[in-house]
Amino acid sequence: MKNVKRINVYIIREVTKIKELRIFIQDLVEPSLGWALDETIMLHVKGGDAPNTVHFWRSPPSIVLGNLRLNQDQMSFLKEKNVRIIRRVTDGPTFYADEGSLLFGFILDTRDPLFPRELNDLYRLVYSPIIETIENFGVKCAFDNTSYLFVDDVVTSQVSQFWYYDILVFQGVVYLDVDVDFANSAGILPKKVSSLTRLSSSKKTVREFIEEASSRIREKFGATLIEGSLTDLENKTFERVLKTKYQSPRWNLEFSPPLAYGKLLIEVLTASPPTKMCSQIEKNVKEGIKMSGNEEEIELRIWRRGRGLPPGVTVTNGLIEAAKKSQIPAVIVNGELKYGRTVPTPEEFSNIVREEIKRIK
Amino acid sequence: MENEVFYCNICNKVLHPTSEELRCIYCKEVSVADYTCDDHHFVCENCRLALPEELVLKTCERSEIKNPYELANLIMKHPAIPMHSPIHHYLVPAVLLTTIKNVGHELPSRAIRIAIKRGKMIPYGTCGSWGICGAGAGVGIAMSVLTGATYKSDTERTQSLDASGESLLSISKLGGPRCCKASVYASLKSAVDFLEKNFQIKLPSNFDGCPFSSNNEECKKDKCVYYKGGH
Repeated sequence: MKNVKRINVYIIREVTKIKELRIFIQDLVEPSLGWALDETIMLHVKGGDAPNTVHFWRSPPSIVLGNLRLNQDQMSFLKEKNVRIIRRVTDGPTFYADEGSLLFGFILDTRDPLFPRELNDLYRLVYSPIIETIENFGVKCAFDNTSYLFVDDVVTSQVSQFWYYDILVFQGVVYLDVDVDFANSAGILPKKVSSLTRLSSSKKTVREFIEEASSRIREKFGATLIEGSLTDLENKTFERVLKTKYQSPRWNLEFSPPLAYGKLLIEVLTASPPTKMCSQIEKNVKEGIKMSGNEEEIELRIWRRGRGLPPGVTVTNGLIEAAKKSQIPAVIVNGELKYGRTVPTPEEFSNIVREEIKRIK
Repeated sequence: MENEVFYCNICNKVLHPTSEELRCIYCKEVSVADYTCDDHHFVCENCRLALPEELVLKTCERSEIKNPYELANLIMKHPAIPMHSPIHHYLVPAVLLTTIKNVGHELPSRAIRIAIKRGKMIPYGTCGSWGICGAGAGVGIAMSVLTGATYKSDTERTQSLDASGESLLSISKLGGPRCCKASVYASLKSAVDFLEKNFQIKLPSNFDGCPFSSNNEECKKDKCVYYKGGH
């Protein structure tokens, strides 16, 4: 996992209903590594093989995009200033980060009954250890419930959220001692920011801030900290997420996510409940995947018409086409509608899989 | 598929496997069912895979429902009908003509098929781009099919125009953004009033509110007259 292997890892041991809450603390790392780590953890928390996690880290100067697309002039300007351009998984307003800022991410499975059902309450709970640590600088903060933490009329911390099924990714930045002049003059941030060092006479290092915030997390969630490490599975996923998404201009600049992190995405859309024809297509697709000998290179998603899609899942053009044209059952391969209302044989489908794998490699 | 839970698209109760012989709630054909809910709702395999147009036609041709809201909701609860789509343009005349027939009035031959064919010509988004909501125009289509109006007719042409016009006014009062479900309900209400006043055709019109608000990201909720809350 390259640089990330050197990080300190802690686990908050269960003392409440939250079973495990890891804390990752990274010092200065490339933005792609830090943002890829959050998404990797999200996938594994969803998969049930990773615990809820909190991640603190710092990055070199970077513009962290949510849903903004930069124009050519802005990109050239940032390149000239040696400021990285990266896009995070959470959408919303752009962040600025540099060595004087602290980035954080909470990745939480909200099916746990401990978490409030109301989004505003949930976001406040998750953000509260950070807000209280900032307020301990002697400043009074106001959170707008979704994006900004204001001190008077300037932003001193920003957050944004992303939902993947029931997993909440809550990412943010604290402007501890950032280059405020650059951040505000670049003309990219939607609101004026200010560093805590300018707003308060109280001084804290990044390390002290993390320690205090961690202690508040411990208090809020009633947990204790112990050291842990990334799993082998997480390490493997991290490499794919990093390479296919966070090191790719298609994501960072064009806002176009990879369909399945470099794997071949196969989607099957059936009636709900499936008819005999739907079950047959599902069976043949699964057999075809097996026959192709490429199971590890494939992500199979089964969708049922009319049941909606979980949040955070990229909706492919082929799936939209199948749904709009009522091509049920349908097989969509890497976003392209391949079969609608016809059932491929396992042999036929395995050939398609082999060809597509060859093509994407 | 093991352990996967399926829900009835009519009542949203959990479906359980069965081998009973049941009548499909849409096409009315009896077959050995695979899934049903506690209320014995069953949708046959053909109807589960049906294209929207097939579904509207089959359901309307075989339905005995007299209340246009009830019939429209039954069709709109099928997953082939998206929350917003031009399907609603032909659904309105098909539903109106079906319920007119079901309260005892004779229809011209192939009336429902003709209405669907005409409604299909109206593209999506015409509420904004033409100032003519397809569901509202669907009321005019229903009147035209019912009376046999053409562009050369006198009274029948006027009646079709009046029916569409009144329906469009009632839709405009709903405000935006567009909601195809609300436009259907407003069109049906306007048509029910128009039919009673001009043709002495009385359609039952009990309606207890929109069941689709939780599926509509743009639902105006309390600002919509059809919102029944609780979602």
